[in-house]
Amino acid sequence: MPGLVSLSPSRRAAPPHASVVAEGREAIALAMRVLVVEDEAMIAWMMESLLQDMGFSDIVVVSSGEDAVEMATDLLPGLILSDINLGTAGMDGVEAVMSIAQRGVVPTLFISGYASEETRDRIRRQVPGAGVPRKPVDAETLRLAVTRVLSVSGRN
Amino acid sequence: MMASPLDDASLGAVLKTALDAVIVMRMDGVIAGWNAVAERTFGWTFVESNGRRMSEMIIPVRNRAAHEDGLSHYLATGEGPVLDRHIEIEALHKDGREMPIELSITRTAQFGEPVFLGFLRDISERRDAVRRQDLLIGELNHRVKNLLGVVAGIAHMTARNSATLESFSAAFAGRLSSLGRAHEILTAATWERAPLRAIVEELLGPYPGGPDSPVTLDGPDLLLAPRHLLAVSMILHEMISNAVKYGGLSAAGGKVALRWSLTNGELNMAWIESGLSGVVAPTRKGFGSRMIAMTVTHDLRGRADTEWREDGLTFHLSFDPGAKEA
Repeated sequence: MPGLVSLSPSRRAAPPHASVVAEGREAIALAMRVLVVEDEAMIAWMMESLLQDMGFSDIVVVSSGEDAVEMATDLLPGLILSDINLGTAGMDGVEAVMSIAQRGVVPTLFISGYASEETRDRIRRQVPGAGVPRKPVDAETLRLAVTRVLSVSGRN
Repeated sequence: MMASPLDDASLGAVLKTALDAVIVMRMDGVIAGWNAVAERTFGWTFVESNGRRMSEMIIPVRNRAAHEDGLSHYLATGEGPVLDRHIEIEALHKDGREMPIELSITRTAQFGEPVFLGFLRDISERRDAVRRQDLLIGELNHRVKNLLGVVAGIAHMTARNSATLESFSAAFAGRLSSLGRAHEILTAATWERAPLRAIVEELLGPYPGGPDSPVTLDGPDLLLAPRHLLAVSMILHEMISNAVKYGGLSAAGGKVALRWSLTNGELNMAWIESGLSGVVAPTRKGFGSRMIAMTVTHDLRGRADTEWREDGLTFHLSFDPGAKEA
């Protein structure tokens, strides 16, 4: 599909150097650094694994909004996957992504178990274009959401 | 002072002892009756309210004009859309605060001249209870979805590290069981801090105590935050599974000692396996060691290392159990 980044399901079996063998915009997408912000270790680990299956190899995982903001300064991620509720203290995922966006907007997926209408409104207003897939997220849902958010950002 | 209809010997006496606030308002909008519950609910005594306009007493300023217009409309047309219905609305207390009330108004001629009789109930507590319930349901929803995410993560990563369906099935069931037990302990502690010893004894419960036991436990009673207790339960489960398969609980003579202490605000745990022979450090990292490493840094924000010896191993774990993010 012209103009769209396509992360095909067949890439599930891709080797770790998939970003090298992929072509065009897809190669650019897969070569980008992904920042995963998730406070549950098992969920973060699964996200990392699913992203690796899609062909991403440069994945950084952090457990708090503060760590995400700090890391993003140096790491300049090209894609962020963030939980919204990051434990009982500190900034939530939306606050962290907004803070990171002050230095440049990064395509973002907010992956949360429960996003109230109020939270969705907040995301629409403050992080326009962000996807909000629901937990637990499966491989195909994640692939489609990543493809969509990168395509939207590519068009813009 | 004008006599109140509530001084009436029959119906008035009943209304005076009602559990709701009862207010009598004349057709011209002036208060003529005000029982003891109305005094407690709105802060004004009968003496203070008697003869004053209802709209000035308990109706918030923004609604006063509508009240007066509605009264005029009723007197002119006989149409009273708020009569004989249950309405929830805000009312004003003497001290200036607003409160939600439930209200029903009827017109009666029981006291001679027709009057409006209002029954009012402060529903602040009910509203608070609904708000609390909504919060709890939201929190429960969040927790359940998060737990499903954790279970999906465990399933995904266990599958990635299982050679056969049988080995996946056994490993996944064991991990879920440990998670379930940690949840039971946290639920018993109403999801506040829960005792570390409870999860240790729960997971190591199948091993008998006494001098010949292969398992010894030693540490003070202390409480862990839910996030920490869940993380420790998952780590312990992996240590126990590994010990049962290959380590201190796999062969006669093998021993496991679990010790923990709190020093300078840091919890130090040591899992010591001994009594074995020919132990060598594994060359590749399996699910257990990777999951432990991830949980230690991610969920506990702590440190861990494993020391391998010929006769066993010692796994050290340290973290701050008072960390705010827990």
